[in-house]
Amino acid sequence: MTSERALPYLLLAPSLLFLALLFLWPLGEAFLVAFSDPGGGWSLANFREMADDLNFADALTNTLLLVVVVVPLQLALALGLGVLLGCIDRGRDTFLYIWTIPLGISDLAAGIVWLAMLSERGYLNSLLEALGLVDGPVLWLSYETPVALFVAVVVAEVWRATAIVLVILVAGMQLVPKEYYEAAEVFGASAFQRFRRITLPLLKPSIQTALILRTILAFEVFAVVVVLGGRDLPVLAGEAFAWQYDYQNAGVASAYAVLILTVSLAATWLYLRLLRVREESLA
Amino acid sequence: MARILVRDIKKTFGKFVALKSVSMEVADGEFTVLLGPSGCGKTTLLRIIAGLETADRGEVWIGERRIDRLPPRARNIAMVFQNYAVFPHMTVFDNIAFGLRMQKRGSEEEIRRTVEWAAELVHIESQLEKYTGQLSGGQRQRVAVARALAVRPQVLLMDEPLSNLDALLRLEMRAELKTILRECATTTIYVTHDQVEAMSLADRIAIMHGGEIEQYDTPLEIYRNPATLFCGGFIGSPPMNFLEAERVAPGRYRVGGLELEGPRDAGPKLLLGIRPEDLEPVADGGAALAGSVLVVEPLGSHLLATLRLDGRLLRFAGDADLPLHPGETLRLRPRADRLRWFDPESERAVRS
Repeated sequence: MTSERALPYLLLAPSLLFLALLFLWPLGEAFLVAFSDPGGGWSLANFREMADDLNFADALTNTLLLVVVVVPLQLALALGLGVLLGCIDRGRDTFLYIWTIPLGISDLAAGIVWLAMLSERGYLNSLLEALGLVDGPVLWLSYETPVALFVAVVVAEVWRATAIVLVILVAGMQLVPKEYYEAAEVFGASAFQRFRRITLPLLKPSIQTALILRTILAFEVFAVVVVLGGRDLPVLAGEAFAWQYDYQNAGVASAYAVLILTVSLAATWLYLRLLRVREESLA
Repeated sequence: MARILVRDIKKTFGKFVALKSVSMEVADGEFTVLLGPSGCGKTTLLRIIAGLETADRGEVWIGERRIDRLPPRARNIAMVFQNYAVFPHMTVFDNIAFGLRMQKRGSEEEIRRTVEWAAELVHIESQLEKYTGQLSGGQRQRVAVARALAVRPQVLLMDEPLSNLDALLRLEMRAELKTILRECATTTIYVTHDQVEAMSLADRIAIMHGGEIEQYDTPLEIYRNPATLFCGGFIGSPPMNFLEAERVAPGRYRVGGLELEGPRDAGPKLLLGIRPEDLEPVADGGAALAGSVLVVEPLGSHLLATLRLDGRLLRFAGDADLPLHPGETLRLRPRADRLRWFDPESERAVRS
């Protein structure tokens, strides 16, 4: 009896151990480093140094802005694409596969793809020149054009990571019985009303999952930004990297890591609160 | 409330012909049941009337309005689905109010009154604040019916609404549905494969088979005078018996050891259709159908026996007190006024 009851825990133990060793341990370490001072005591010195840095305010603003712009954009796009997919009978899987191709590419490679398009001698400039819209190469990704740079990062991120939202939402949409839509249609709901009254509320758990996942990843945005803008567009993860490897200052880098973790947790908590699904409404 | 007219409806799914050419008319306030085995096209016909499916050709009229090109929401219909399709993310109240709100039927106050009226009709007025996930199957079905009645549709469509309920609940809901629907007097089309349900609910039954309506009549008329072999075999439990008959003289046919009066202008070979309860035991001596008793089923109200007669089975329903035992020989004669004749080629009834 006892051994049978213990078995599931025994089987779960390796994965727990794995997580503890490779995730919780380094996390604890990062906290320790972030909150210690060179003398060996506890202090907020690393956080003070982080906050006093010239790039800090920019990095925080840029990261938050990126999250605020990219995540809703991706959610809206994925919802739209998901609804469109639901409207076609044949070739639905093909469309889904094509749209998810960017998922298979690393974010570094995705950055390079967009760099090839947007750099001084990139495809975009060639095209604009060929059409006679510009006289010579235009700098899109420079320190002097922060808006264009920001837009480029947004576009690249949307292109790269909308598919994961789409996959989660499409999976959720497929769980909604067809009869709900038919009933809604018979009882007078227009296409928009069906979306608003049936799709959205029943998709809430999927939307929640997608938002949490995408927001956490958006707070960690790094490779695409580095490739397209270097440190011309400072972001939190980029600063952590710079402090760790350029300035060889693990303390401040860890402080950044702790900050990213904190805002991610806060966002997750917010989503869980705002998109709470009533227990009794799950049929 | 209005009549429904279906004219020459055809529907194919790929190579499968679901409906060949179906026409029917349901009178204002009438309760029609579409009855047939699975795959006969009954649900397809219902969904075409609802607008959830588009016919390849043909017309559908409700009242004086041709509706087959209109979207479902413009048809002034309501529907009860087989698996209820009540919305899990809404309370019972919001479910029942759904159609009213979508169609902007009056103020919230008026809607509240209508919802309460419909809820009382199906006896769920005490559950209005609950979510449908907290309800039993029977209660959800009640919500689905209330949601449909609340919009006071011209036409009510029901797709096997009782088939997901357990047997006892189904009987209870059946009786209750009949009361409720009579009260509302809404023109109703009801799909089922359960012939007892059809018999007990319908004003008229349309028996569907292979994408066609084989007979469209009152339950009793179909029971007494089935238009085809299929109708006789599908309605009634146990179904009608069919026995081979051979012509011995014009208007005279031999069935087993019996000579019976049959139709005058029919072929040399016919099938005699006779209901199990229209067979009567005869005392030894007279001409009769003699079969050996295989199984006896005492049902209390009456008795069912299965006999073997010339290598085929014959079902007999008789008085519960008949002393019958397996292995015995039973001699039966059909009631002369209940003989029904069928052409084995066309499978259609031959009127005598």
